[in-house]
Amino acid sequence: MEREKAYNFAYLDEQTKRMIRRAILKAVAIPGYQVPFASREMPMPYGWGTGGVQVTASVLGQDDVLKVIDQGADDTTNAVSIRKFFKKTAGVETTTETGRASVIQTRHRVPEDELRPDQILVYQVPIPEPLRFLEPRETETRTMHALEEYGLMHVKLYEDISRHGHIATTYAYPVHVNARYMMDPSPIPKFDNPKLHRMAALQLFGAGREKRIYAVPPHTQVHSLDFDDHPFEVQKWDKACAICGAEDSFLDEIITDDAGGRMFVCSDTDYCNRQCEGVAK
Amino acid sequence: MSTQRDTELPILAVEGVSKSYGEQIGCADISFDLWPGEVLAIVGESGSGKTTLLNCLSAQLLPDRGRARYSMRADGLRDIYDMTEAERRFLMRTDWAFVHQNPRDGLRMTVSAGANVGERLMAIGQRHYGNIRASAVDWLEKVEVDAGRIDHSPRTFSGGMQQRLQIARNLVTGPRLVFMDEPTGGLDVSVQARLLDLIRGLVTRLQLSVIIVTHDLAVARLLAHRMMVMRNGHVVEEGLTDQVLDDPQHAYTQLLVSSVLQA
Amino acid sequence: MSEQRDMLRAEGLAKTFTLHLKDGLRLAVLKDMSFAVKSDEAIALTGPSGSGKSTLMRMLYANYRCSTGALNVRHKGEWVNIAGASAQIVTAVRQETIGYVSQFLRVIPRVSTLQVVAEPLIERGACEQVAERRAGDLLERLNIPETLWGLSPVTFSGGEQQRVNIARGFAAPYPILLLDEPTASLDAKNRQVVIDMIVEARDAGTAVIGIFHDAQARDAVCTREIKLPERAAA
Repeated sequence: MEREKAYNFAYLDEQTKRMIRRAILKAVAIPGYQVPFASREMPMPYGWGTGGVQVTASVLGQDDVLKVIDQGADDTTNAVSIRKFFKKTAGVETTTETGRASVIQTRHRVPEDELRPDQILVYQVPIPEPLRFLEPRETETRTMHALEEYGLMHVKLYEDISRHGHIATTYAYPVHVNARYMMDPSPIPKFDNPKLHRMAALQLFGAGREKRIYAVPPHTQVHSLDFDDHPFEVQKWDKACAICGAEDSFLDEIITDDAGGRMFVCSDTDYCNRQCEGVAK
Repeated sequence: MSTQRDTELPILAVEGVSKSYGEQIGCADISFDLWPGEVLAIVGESGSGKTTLLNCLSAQLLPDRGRARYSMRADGLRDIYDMTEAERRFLMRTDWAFVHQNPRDGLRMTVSAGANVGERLMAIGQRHYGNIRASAVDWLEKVEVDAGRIDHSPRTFSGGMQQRLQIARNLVTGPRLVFMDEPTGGLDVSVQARLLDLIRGLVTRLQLSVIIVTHDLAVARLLAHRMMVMRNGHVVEEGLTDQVLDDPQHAYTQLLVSSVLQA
Repeated sequence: MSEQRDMLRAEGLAKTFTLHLKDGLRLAVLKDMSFAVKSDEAIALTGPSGSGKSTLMRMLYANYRCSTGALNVRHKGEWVNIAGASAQIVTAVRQETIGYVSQFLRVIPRVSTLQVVAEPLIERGACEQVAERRAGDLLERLNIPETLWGLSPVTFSGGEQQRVNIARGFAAPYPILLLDEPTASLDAKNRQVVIDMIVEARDAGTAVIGIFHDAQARDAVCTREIKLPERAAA
């Protein structure tokens, strides 16, 4: 598809992209640290991934292949619109195949496939501050980060255990990056947390409304918080995917009728498709 | 109070601490030594500078002049104003404690009582849920809060219970120096008496050093070994509590003492 | 040498109250008091009402501050001037050397009688069991029934409170003991117990200084009188 010439490449002007790249470089240099940036108005509402879109726009080159997923799926409204947006403004090739993409923008999931060093994963982040839940003052949370005062994060987990008997936080599960900064991994399921640890691809996080960018450089240590007597655990299912039969993927529950019928299927649609093809072969 | 005075260092040595707000004097040229196990009351009416002084002493406010040297567990007397903010905040959640007049200022109202007590333990690196919870139960009992309420929000507690919870939250890490700002203010008289008695018991049993700000001379009489009377930012009189209250020398102290109803 | 047995020496003590709320009115209550008290002496402070006996007692305990003069006390073998001494020194002297039985017990709610009596010993570093055993012995001797020991003295009668106060004053073996009307409000039986206790302490070497309006007690206990003059007009 031909690029819409009325817009600059990838919508944002070059000055803005340069500003965002500087923020990204700083974020990469200080893993897990939230770098403030001058977030722009985008032609989509907040909550639709304006932060992720600006990061993607700033890292995208003409030869890149873009994949956009929302909750693991390539075909939801949000994913389709963002993919179209970049097709129109940057004219880049888009794909639904994880293995072919060089830039993957995601909302709420990490692809099941292991990512490579030549790939960039861009997360859309609604609330970047992991301490926000217990400490509403921005001045205070910044000091806490600066001084590594992170006891509060465990207070949140303590509350979970005291209320539910186990750590009931299942998404946006807080992580400690490079043994320094506490980080909100965005609302991905905690099932995905282990994938962040020492991932070969560069991970970038953009929060448009909150005007923050942060990053996890390749092969960085990412530790999910826990207690000695309540260690971190990921979700498990006693079923396999109803479509492809995969037993190692994150499953979505789908209600099939009004009579309580349900099925569990892979949330990562690309992974599911390829599992099916593999079975067919 | 502890018995071996002569060989000990003060736990806090304050010299010439002054703080002004522009033309307005907050506190002027305050000097004193606080000894281990000693309870010092700072009394005076609103605007006398006692809260400014307390905030300076607890390093929440930096004075214009003067120094306050604290006896560190490891390396002797150190001026708290020369410390990095990180060091001061570390002291504040380990070796020091601050009990606010309004428990809402000292508690996290959005989390349970148990988490409130456990927070300081987690802040110093405890990572065993079972142990943290056991400490919380222990401390709730020490401050006479029913351990069955460990998972309740402090919002559901009465004012007196909230204040006792605040004390437990502060003492759980075994601090040596406790700052208290009108801890019984805003409570009913009967609730006050119980709280004072609890504080008195804990202070004696744990050998705490305490600086307590109060406008209530009865509180000073009950808790403090020694007191300082402040007016317009200056200390006008100091001495053993019974000396100051029974034989006040300064005109202002005489006025304060004579204004109190004898109960 | 008798001087070697001196426990307390007052030199030129004076007390003037300045009443700032009454336009700085000055009340000279005591002037130029000098005396010494030896170990195993019991002194009765006498003089007409208003002559400053209670004021002097409070000065000896460093509760009231001396306007002029020196008040030397033999504290742990050394002479210490407690007139104008620091809070630390006064506290140490009160802990180790000078005991004081006031006329009224200052009652703290929720603190048991046994604890009230044991407290001075615990402050001196005694272990809780030893202190409480000693407290129990004293309360028993002063006829406070054991059923009351666990209660706060708040609800006790005046006589009972006074006996608790005396037990507290005698708990630790102070070398100097100040007694302000120790037998007031006691019945005959308990008065005799208190007199016996004071005499025992005196004979064991305690320097006793007291105000005794009760002539019988005074005669039974005291070896000497110090008479305060009538107060001169201000």
